[in-house]
Amino acid sequence: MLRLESVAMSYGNGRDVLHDINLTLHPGEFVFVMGPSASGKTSLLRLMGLIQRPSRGRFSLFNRDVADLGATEISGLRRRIGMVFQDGRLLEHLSAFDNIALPLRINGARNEAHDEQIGGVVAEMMGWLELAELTAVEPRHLSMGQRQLVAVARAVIARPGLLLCDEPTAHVDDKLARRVMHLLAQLCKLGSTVVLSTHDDDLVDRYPHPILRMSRGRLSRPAAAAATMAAAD
Amino acid sequence: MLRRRLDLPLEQTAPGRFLPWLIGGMIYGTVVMLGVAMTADRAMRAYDQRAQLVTVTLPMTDGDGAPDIEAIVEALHNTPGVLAATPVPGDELRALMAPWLGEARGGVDLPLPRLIDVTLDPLAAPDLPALENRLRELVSGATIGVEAATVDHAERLAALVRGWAGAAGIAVLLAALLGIGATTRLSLRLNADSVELLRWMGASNRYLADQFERHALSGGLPAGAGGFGFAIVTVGALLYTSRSMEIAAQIEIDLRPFDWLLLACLAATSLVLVVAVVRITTLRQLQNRPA
Repeated sequence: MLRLESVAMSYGNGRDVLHDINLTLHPGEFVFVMGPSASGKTSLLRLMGLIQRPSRGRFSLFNRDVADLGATEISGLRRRIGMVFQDGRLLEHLSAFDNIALPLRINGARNEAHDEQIGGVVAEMMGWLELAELTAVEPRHLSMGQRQLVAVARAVIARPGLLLCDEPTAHVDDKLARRVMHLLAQLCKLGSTVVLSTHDDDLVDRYPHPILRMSRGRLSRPAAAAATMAAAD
Repeated sequence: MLRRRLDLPLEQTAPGRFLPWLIGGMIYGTVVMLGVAMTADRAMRAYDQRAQLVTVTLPMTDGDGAPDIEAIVEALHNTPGVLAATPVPGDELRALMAPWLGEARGGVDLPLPRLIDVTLDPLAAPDLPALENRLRELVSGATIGVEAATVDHAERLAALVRGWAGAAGIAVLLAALLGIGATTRLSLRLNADSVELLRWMGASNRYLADQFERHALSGGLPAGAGGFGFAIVTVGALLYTSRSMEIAAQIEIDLRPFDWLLLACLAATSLVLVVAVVRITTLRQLQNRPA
């Protein structure tokens, strides 16, 4: 589903921020990415999310070699990826509802029936994340935790094949963090691959998923993920 | 479709707020200029039609030797290139003379010239001097007055106005479309973060161009309607003023309902061009960015 072979990545013409990354992820797999600040966790997620291209190596996603893809195909693959950004990246002029509905609108045709369908799905998701009362509220009126939940809801609403989460539980309380993790686990059971970057040791301890450790732009080989990574070699 | 909020905050940036004004101004300027050009064109057509009208004047009579009008009219009818020949009725003639004769005319049977309105075929107009000679054989002193041959200043002014106003209208339209292209590029730059976010979520260039297009339409429709309304009032006021100032006394300056319809079509076409420019500009800008 996702395969990185000797991949390096740099921003613009700068030096590489990721070095020699080898990794294979399969459908339904859940992995944590841990590491200190500036170790390359976010860069790795941006690479997987097709926001940045590799400067070296081979990257295939959904069985397609990314290097061969044109703009239209890239857009098509991106629609199969959900991403929770560290800073939320909500559109401030849209309500919480419309922010969450964005991927569905981007994915689908624009018509009344589709809009009604979207309304039902988004309302259900908002209810589940205890956001039902915030439907019409714009992000500037939301707390950090609520913003984070809206960002998570937006990332999962279209049931992406690959879900990339950058600190999705950083600003939410323990109860909601569990709920978010449960949501991600459910998505995983439905076949989505989840990559979650976090600093939170407690969170990692609570959920027995493989951990990928990043250090200075390199991916180490933790025991739990060794088999997976070996497959890429 | 237009009511739903746009995914991009285009209405919240200065170029986005400026765009409807630009569209309204463009439609106002274009419709006024081309309305004036159409009015001038109608005036020139009226002058052209006048070129097909001549008046035969038969000399004054004292009542004893009335000219043989019927013979003249028959001669005119038999002349190739003459479409119609109609004697001006006596009442109409007296009404024409009233400003000069005033009340003095009453009770005094002054000799008056007799006039015959003649319509010529513009494609086969007869040789007027030869026709005049033939009429003189029938009625001594008969003359043909070619009013239309007198190209008055208003006609030349109409030609000038038609050219300049037409060119100005097209210039306004083109300049505004260039401005709309520049505004769209600026808008894209100012909303780069949001545009990129949507692209990361898989929005295609077409989807993003739709956003810009919808914004241009939702703001441009009311602004364009307003601009068109003001333009109609302006053209109407110009027509009224030109009539009351008797700028072209010999013809009636006016626009027909079909002309107004054409102006409405022009406004609608301008709006379609706006949408096309916005869409093409957005797509070209996005295509130039890395995927």
